[in-house]
Amino acid sequence: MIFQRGVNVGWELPPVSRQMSLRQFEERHPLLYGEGTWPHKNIHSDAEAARAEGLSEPVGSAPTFFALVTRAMMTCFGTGWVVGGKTSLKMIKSVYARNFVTAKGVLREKQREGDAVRYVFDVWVENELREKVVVGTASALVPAEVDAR
Amino acid sequence: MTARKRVARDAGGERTRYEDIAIGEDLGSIEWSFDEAAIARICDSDDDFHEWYAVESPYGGIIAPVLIGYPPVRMLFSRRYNVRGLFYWHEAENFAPLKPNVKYTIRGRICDKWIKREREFVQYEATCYDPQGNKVFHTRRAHALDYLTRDVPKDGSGIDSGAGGRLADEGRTA
Repeated sequence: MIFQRGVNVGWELPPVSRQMSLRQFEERHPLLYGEGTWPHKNIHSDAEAARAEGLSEPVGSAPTFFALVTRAMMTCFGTGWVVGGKTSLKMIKSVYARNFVTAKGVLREKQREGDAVRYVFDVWVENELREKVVVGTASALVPAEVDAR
Repeated sequence: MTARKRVARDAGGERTRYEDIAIGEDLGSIEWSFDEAAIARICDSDDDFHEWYAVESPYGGIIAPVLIGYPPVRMLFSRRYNVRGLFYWHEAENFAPLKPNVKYTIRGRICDKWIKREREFVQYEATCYDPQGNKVFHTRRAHALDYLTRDVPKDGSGIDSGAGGRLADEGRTA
Protein backbone atom coordinates (compact mmCIF):
# COMPACT_ATOMS: atom_id res chain seq x y z
CA MET A 1 0.00 0.00 0.00
CA ILE A 2 1.39 3.37 -0.97
CA PHE A 3 -0.69 5.34 1.49
CA GLN A 4 0.94 6.73 4.65
CA ARG A 5 -2.19 8.73 5.37
CA GLY A 6 -5.65 9.27 3.94
CA VAL A 7 -6.34 11.12 0.72
CA ASN A 8 -9.39 13.16 -0.19
CA VAL A 9 -12.21 12.56 -2.64
CA GLY A 10 -10.94 13.67 -6.03
CA TRP A 11 -7.54 12.02 -5.61
CA GLU A 12 -6.44 10.41 -8.87
CA LEU A 13 -5.06 6.93 -9.39
CA PRO A 14 -1.69 6.88 -11.14
CA PRO A 15 -2.45 6.28 -14.84
CA VAL A 16 -1.37 2.97 -16.37
CA SER A 17 -0.78 2.89 -20.13
CA ARG A 18 0.10 0.39 -22.80
CA GLN A 19 0.48 0.23 -26.55
CA MET A 20 -1.59 -2.63 -27.92
CA SER A 21 -0.35 -4.88 -30.72
CA LEU A 22 -1.61 -7.70 -32.89
CA ARG A 23 1.14 -9.84 -31.40
CA GLN A 24 -0.37 -9.39 -27.93
CA PHE A 25 -3.81 -10.23 -29.32
CA GLU A 26 -2.44 -13.37 -31.00
CA GLU A 27 -0.45 -14.63 -28.06
CA ARG A 28 -2.93 -14.06 -25.25
CA HIS A 29 -5.21 -17.06 -25.64
CA PRO A 30 -2.47 -19.69 -26.14
CA LEU A 31 -0.59 -18.19 -23.17
CA LEU A 32 -3.56 -18.20 -20.82
CA TYR A 33 -5.66 -21.14 -21.99
CA GLY A 34 -2.90 -23.35 -23.38
CA GLU A 35 -2.04 -24.27 -26.95
CA GLY A 36 -4.93 -25.78 -28.87
CA THR A 37 -7.66 -25.08 -26.35
CA TRP A 38 -8.95 -22.07 -28.29
CA PRO A 39 -9.13 -21.73 -32.08
CA HIS A 40 -5.84 -20.34 -33.37
CA LYS A 41 -7.84 -18.12 -35.70
CA ASN A 42 -10.13 -16.13 -33.43
CA ILE A 43 -11.69 -12.66 -33.26
CA HIS A 44 -8.63 -11.35 -31.43
CA SER A 45 -6.03 -12.68 -33.81
CA ASP A 46 -7.48 -13.10 -37.28
CA ALA A 47 -9.17 -10.67 -39.65
CA GLU A 48 -11.30 -13.33 -41.34
CA ALA A 49 -12.54 -14.73 -38.02
CA ALA A 50 -13.38 -11.20 -36.85
CA ARG A 51 -15.24 -10.37 -40.07
CA ALA A 52 -17.29 -13.56 -39.77
CA GLU A 53 -18.66 -12.14 -36.50
CA GLY A 54 -19.42 -8.75 -38.04
CA LEU A 55 -16.34 -7.00 -36.67
CA SER A 56 -14.26 -4.79 -38.94
CA GLU A 57 -10.95 -6.19 -37.68
CA PRO A 58 -9.50 -8.16 -34.72
CA VAL A 59 -10.33 -6.70 -31.31
CA GLY A 60 -8.51 -6.92 -28.01
CA SER A 61 -9.69 -9.24 -25.26
CA ALA A 62 -11.54 -7.25 -22.56
CA PRO A 63 -9.60 -8.66 -19.56
CA THR A 64 -6.44 -7.18 -21.08
CA PHE A 65 -7.87 -3.70 -20.50
CA PHE A 66 -9.43 -4.53 -17.15
CA ALA A 67 -5.91 -5.55 -16.10
CA LEU A 68 -4.73 -1.95 -16.47
CA VAL A 69 -7.24 -0.97 -13.78
CA THR A 70 -6.37 -3.87 -11.48
CA ARG A 71 -2.68 -3.06 -11.87
CA ALA A 72 -3.29 0.47 -10.62
CA MET A 73 -5.32 -0.83 -7.69
CA MET A 74 -2.66 -3.41 -6.78
CA THR A 75 0.09 -0.81 -6.96
CA CYS A 76 -1.77 1.60 -4.70
CA PHE A 77 -3.44 -0.70 -2.18
CA GLY A 78 -1.55 -4.02 -1.99
CA THR A 79 -3.15 -6.06 0.80
CA GLY A 80 -6.25 -3.83 0.74
CA TRP A 81 -6.75 -4.90 -2.86
CA VAL A 82 -5.81 -8.57 -2.60
CA VAL A 83 -8.27 -9.05 0.29
CA GLY A 84 -11.34 -6.88 -0.12
CA GLY A 85 -10.82 -5.40 -3.57
CA LYS A 86 -13.86 -5.06 -5.83
CA THR A 87 -14.38 -4.13 -9.47
CA SER A 88 -17.32 -3.57 -11.78
CA LEU A 89 -16.09 -2.90 -15.32
CA LYS A 90 -17.94 -2.57 -18.60
CA MET A 91 -16.36 -2.74 -22.07
CA ILE A 92 -18.13 -0.04 -24.09
CA LYS A 93 -15.93 0.33 -27.17
CA SER A 94 -13.65 -2.01 -29.08
CA VAL A 95 -9.88 -1.73 -28.80
CA TYR A 96 -7.78 -2.49 -31.86
CA ALA A 97 -4.15 -3.46 -32.24
CA ARG A 98 -3.17 0.09 -33.18
CA ASN A 99 -4.63 1.67 -30.05
CA PHE A 100 -2.72 3.16 -27.13
CA VAL A 101 -4.78 2.80 -23.97
CA THR A 102 -4.59 4.35 -20.50
CA ALA A 103 -6.40 3.43 -17.30
CA LYS A 104 -7.38 6.31 -15.03
CA GLY A 105 -9.42 6.74 -11.88
CA VAL A 106 -10.73 9.33 -9.44
CA LEU A 107 -11.64 8.73 -5.79
CA ARG A 108 -15.42 9.18 -5.65
CA GLU A 109 -16.20 8.32 -2.02
CA LYS A 110 -14.97 6.68 1.14
CA GLN A 111 -17.08 4.17 3.05
CA ARG A 112 -16.37 2.93 6.57
CA GLU A 113 -16.24 -0.90 6.78
CA GLY A 114 -15.39 -2.08 10.30
CA ASP A 115 -11.73 -1.27 10.99
CA ALA A 116 -11.14 -0.15 7.42
CA VAL A 117 -12.26 2.47 4.95
CA ARG A 118 -13.26 1.48 1.44
CA TYR A 119 -11.89 3.83 -1.20
CA VAL A 120 -14.29 3.76 -4.14
CA PHE A 121 -13.00 5.00 -7.48
CA ASP A 122 -14.70 5.86 -10.72
CA VAL A 123 -12.35 4.21 -13.21
CA TRP A 124 -12.08 4.10 -16.95
CA VAL A 125 -9.73 3.12 -19.76
CA GLU A 126 -9.41 5.51 -22.68
CA ASN A 127 -7.73 5.26 -26.06
CA GLU A 128 -5.34 7.77 -27.59
CA LEU A 129 -8.31 9.83 -28.81
CA ARG A 130 -9.54 10.16 -25.19
CA GLU A 131 -12.49 7.93 -26.05
CA LYS A 132 -13.53 5.75 -23.14
CA VAL A 133 -13.35 2.03 -23.93
CA VAL A 134 -13.93 0.70 -20.39
CA VAL A 135 -15.95 2.36 -17.61
CA GLY A 136 -16.80 1.27 -14.09
CA THR A 137 -15.76 1.32 -10.47
CA ALA A 138 -12.96 -0.19 -8.43
CA SER A 139 -12.47 -0.16 -4.68
CA ALA A 140 -10.05 -1.33 -2.02
CA LEU A 141 -9.57 -1.11 1.73
CA VAL A 142 -7.35 1.22 3.73
CA PRO A 143 -6.89 0.71 7.50
CA ALA A 144 -9.02 3.27 9.34
CA GLU A 145 -6.05 4.54 11.36
CA VAL A 146 -4.15 5.26 8.15
CA ASP A 147 -7.14 7.03 6.60
CA ALA A 148 -7.53 9.17 9.74
CA ARG A 149 -3.96 10.57 9.61
CA MET B 1 -20.92 -8.06 -51.06
CA THR B 2 -22.30 -11.00 -49.11
CA ALA B 3 -25.29 -10.57 -46.84
CA ARG B 4 -24.48 -10.25 -43.15
CA LYS B 5 -25.23 -13.27 -41.02
CA ARG B 6 -24.85 -14.06 -37.38
CA VAL B 7 -22.82 -17.18 -36.77
CA ALA B 8 -24.92 -20.26 -36.12
CA ARG B 9 -22.18 -22.91 -36.11
CA ASP B 10 -18.41 -23.15 -35.81
CA ALA B 11 -15.63 -25.62 -35.08
CA GLY B 12 -17.18 -26.30 -31.70
CA GLY B 13 -20.57 -27.20 -33.16
CA GLU B 14 -23.85 -25.29 -33.05
CA ARG B 15 -23.71 -21.93 -31.31
CA THR B 16 -25.96 -21.68 -28.31
CA ARG B 17 -29.13 -19.73 -29.03
CA TYR B 18 -30.57 -17.19 -26.63
CA GLU B 19 -33.72 -19.29 -26.22
CA ASP B 20 -31.65 -22.26 -25.06
CA ILE B 21 -30.06 -20.46 -22.11
CA ALA B 22 -31.82 -21.23 -18.85
CA ILE B 23 -31.60 -18.70 -16.02
CA GLY B 24 -30.61 -20.49 -12.84
CA GLU B 25 -28.94 -23.37 -14.63
CA ASP B 26 -26.08 -24.87 -12.66
CA LEU B 27 -22.80 -24.73 -14.57
CA GLY B 28 -21.32 -27.33 -12.28
CA SER B 29 -17.83 -27.08 -10.85
CA ILE B 30 -14.24 -27.49 -11.94
CA GLU B 31 -11.05 -28.06 -10.03
CA TRP B 32 -8.44 -25.50 -10.91
CA SER B 33 -4.84 -24.84 -10.02
CA PHE B 34 -1.99 -22.94 -11.60
CA ASP B 35 1.76 -22.85 -11.17
CA GLU B 36 4.39 -20.11 -11.00
CA ALA B 37 4.88 -20.33 -14.77
CA ALA B 38 1.20 -19.54 -15.32
CA ILE B 39 1.57 -16.44 -13.14
CA ALA B 40 4.53 -15.35 -15.26
CA ARG B 41 2.49 -15.88 -18.44
CA ILE B 42 -0.46 -13.75 -17.37
CA CYS B 43 1.86 -11.02 -16.06
CA ASP B 44 3.57 -11.02 -19.45
CA SER B 45 0.34 -11.01 -21.45
CA ASP B 46 -1.32 -8.32 -19.34
CA ASP B 47 1.85 -6.26 -18.87
CA ASP B 48 1.07 -6.51 -15.16
CA PHE B 49 4.13 -6.76 -12.97
CA HIS B 50 4.46 -6.56 -9.21
CA GLU B 51 7.02 -7.84 -6.72
CA TRP B 52 4.40 -10.04 -5.06
CA TYR B 53 3.77 -11.83 -8.37
CA ALA B 54 7.44 -12.60 -8.96
CA VAL B 55 9.56 -12.48 -5.82
CA GLU B 56 7.70 -12.69 -2.49
CA SER B 57 4.46 -11.51 -0.94
CA PRO B 58 3.26 -10.99 2.65
CA TYR B 59 1.16 -14.16 2.20
CA GLY B 60 4.13 -16.54 2.01
CA GLY B 61 5.48 -17.08 -1.49
CA ILE B 62 4.26 -15.36 -4.61
CA ILE B 63 0.62 -14.72 -5.48
CA ALA B 64 -1.20 -14.25 -8.80
CA PRO B 65 -2.94 -11.21 -10.30
CA VAL B 66 -6.66 -11.48 -9.65
CA LEU B 67 -7.44 -11.75 -13.37
CA ILE B 68 -5.77 -15.15 -13.52
CA GLY B 69 -9.25 -16.24 -12.44
CA TYR B 70 -10.76 -15.09 -15.74
CA PRO B 71 -9.94 -18.13 -17.95
CA PRO B 72 -11.17 -20.95 -15.68
CA VAL B 73 -14.55 -19.28 -15.18
CA ARG B 74 -14.83 -18.72 -18.92
CA MET B 75 -14.04 -22.43 -19.42
CA LEU B 76 -16.73 -23.38 -16.90
CA PHE B 77 -19.20 -21.44 -19.03
CA SER B 78 -17.74 -22.74 -22.34
CA ARG B 79 -18.12 -26.31 -21.17
CA ARG B 80 -21.89 -25.90 -21.17
CA TYR B 81 -22.58 -23.24 -23.80
CA ASN B 82 -20.97 -22.42 -27.13
CA VAL B 83 -21.17 -18.64 -26.88
CA ARG B 84 -18.46 -16.71 -28.71
CA GLY B 85 -19.88 -13.19 -28.68
CA LEU B 86 -18.17 -10.34 -26.89
CA PHE B 87 -17.27 -10.13 -23.22
CA TYR B 88 -19.14 -7.08 -21.99
CA TRP B 89 -19.20 -6.71 -18.20
CA HIS B 90 -17.13 -8.02 -15.35
CA GLU B 91 -17.72 -7.74 -11.62
CA ALA B 92 -15.42 -9.29 -9.06
CA GLU B 93 -14.70 -9.35 -5.34
CA ASN B 94 -11.42 -10.60 -3.92
CA PHE B 95 -11.59 -12.43 -0.60
CA ALA B 96 -8.14 -14.00 -0.38
CA PRO B 97 -4.85 -14.14 -2.28
CA LEU B 98 -4.57 -16.57 -5.19
CA LYS B 99 -1.60 -18.85 -4.59
CA PRO B 100 0.13 -21.26 -6.98
CA ASN B 101 -0.17 -25.03 -6.65
CA VAL B 102 -3.38 -24.93 -4.61
CA LYS B 103 -6.34 -27.04 -5.70
CA TYR B 104 -9.21 -24.57 -5.98
CA THR B 105 -12.82 -25.40 -6.79
CA ILE B 106 -14.95 -23.06 -8.90
CA ARG B 107 -18.73 -23.36 -9.04
CA GLY B 108 -21.00 -21.35 -11.30
CA ARG B 109 -24.54 -20.76 -12.53
CA ILE B 110 -26.43 -18.77 -15.11
CA CYS B 111 -27.95 -15.83 -13.29
CA ASP B 112 -29.64 -13.71 -15.96
CA LYS B 113 -30.23 -13.06 -19.63
CA TRP B 114 -31.71 -10.06 -21.39
CA ILE B 115 -32.10 -8.23 -24.69
CA LYS B 116 -30.95 -4.64 -24.96
CA ARG B 117 -30.60 -2.54 -28.10
CA GLU B 118 -31.33 -5.62 -30.18
CA ARG B 119 -28.45 -7.59 -28.70
CA GLU B 120 -28.77 -10.74 -26.62
CA PHE B 121 -26.88 -10.96 -23.33
CA VAL B 122 -26.19 -13.75 -20.87
CA GLN B 123 -24.90 -13.28 -17.33
CA TYR B 124 -23.26 -15.94 -15.20
CA GLU B 125 -21.61 -15.98 -11.82
CA ALA B 126 -18.99 -18.14 -10.19
CA THR B 127 -17.32 -18.52 -6.82
CA CYS B 128 -13.85 -19.89 -6.23
CA TYR B 129 -13.15 -21.83 -3.01
CA ASP B 130 -9.89 -22.98 -1.45
CA PRO B 131 -9.46 -26.59 -0.23
CA GLN B 132 -10.88 -25.59 3.19
CA GLY B 133 -14.04 -24.27 1.57
CA ASN B 134 -13.22 -20.59 2.09
CA LYS B 135 -14.22 -18.12 -0.62
CA VAL B 136 -11.30 -16.82 -2.65
CA PHE B 137 -13.15 -14.74 -5.21
CA HIS B 138 -16.62 -14.23 -6.58
CA THR B 139 -17.34 -12.96 -10.07
CA ARG B 140 -20.31 -12.08 -12.28
CA ARG B 141 -19.90 -11.60 -16.01
CA ALA B 142 -22.01 -10.76 -19.01
CA HIS B 143 -21.44 -11.65 -22.66
CA ALA B 144 -23.24 -10.40 -25.74
CA LEU B 145 -24.08 -13.52 -27.73
CA ASP B 146 -23.29 -11.77 -31.01
CA TYR B 147 -21.71 -8.53 -32.07
CA LEU B 148 -24.36 -8.27 -34.79
CA THR B 149 -27.89 -7.38 -33.71
CA ARG B 150 -30.64 -10.01 -33.49
CA ASP B 151 -32.45 -8.78 -36.58
CA VAL B 152 -29.54 -10.22 -38.61
CA PRO B 153 -30.27 -13.85 -39.58
CA LYS B 154 -28.39 -16.40 -37.50
CA ASP B 155 -27.39 -18.99 -40.06
CA GLY B 156 -23.77 -18.28 -40.91
CA SER B 157 -20.62 -20.30 -40.21
CA GLY B 158 -17.85 -18.98 -37.98
CA ILE B 159 -14.16 -19.62 -37.55
CA ASP B 160 -13.71 -18.72 -33.91
CA SER B 161 -15.65 -20.68 -31.30
CA GLY B 162 -17.10 -20.05 -27.88
CA ALA B 163 -16.21 -23.62 -27.10
CA GLY B 164 -12.68 -22.51 -26.24
CA GLY B 165 -11.29 -24.57 -23.44
CA ARG B 166 -12.85 -27.84 -24.58
CA LEU B 167 -11.89 -28.02 -28.24
CA ALA B 168 -8.61 -29.79 -27.52
CA ASP B 169 -10.41 -32.44 -25.47
CA GLU B 170 -12.78 -33.08 -28.34
CA GLY B 171 -10.15 -33.02 -31.09
CA ARG B 172 -11.86 -30.16 -32.89
CA THR B 173 -9.28 -27.44 -32.58
CA ALA B 174 -9.53 -25.08 -35.53
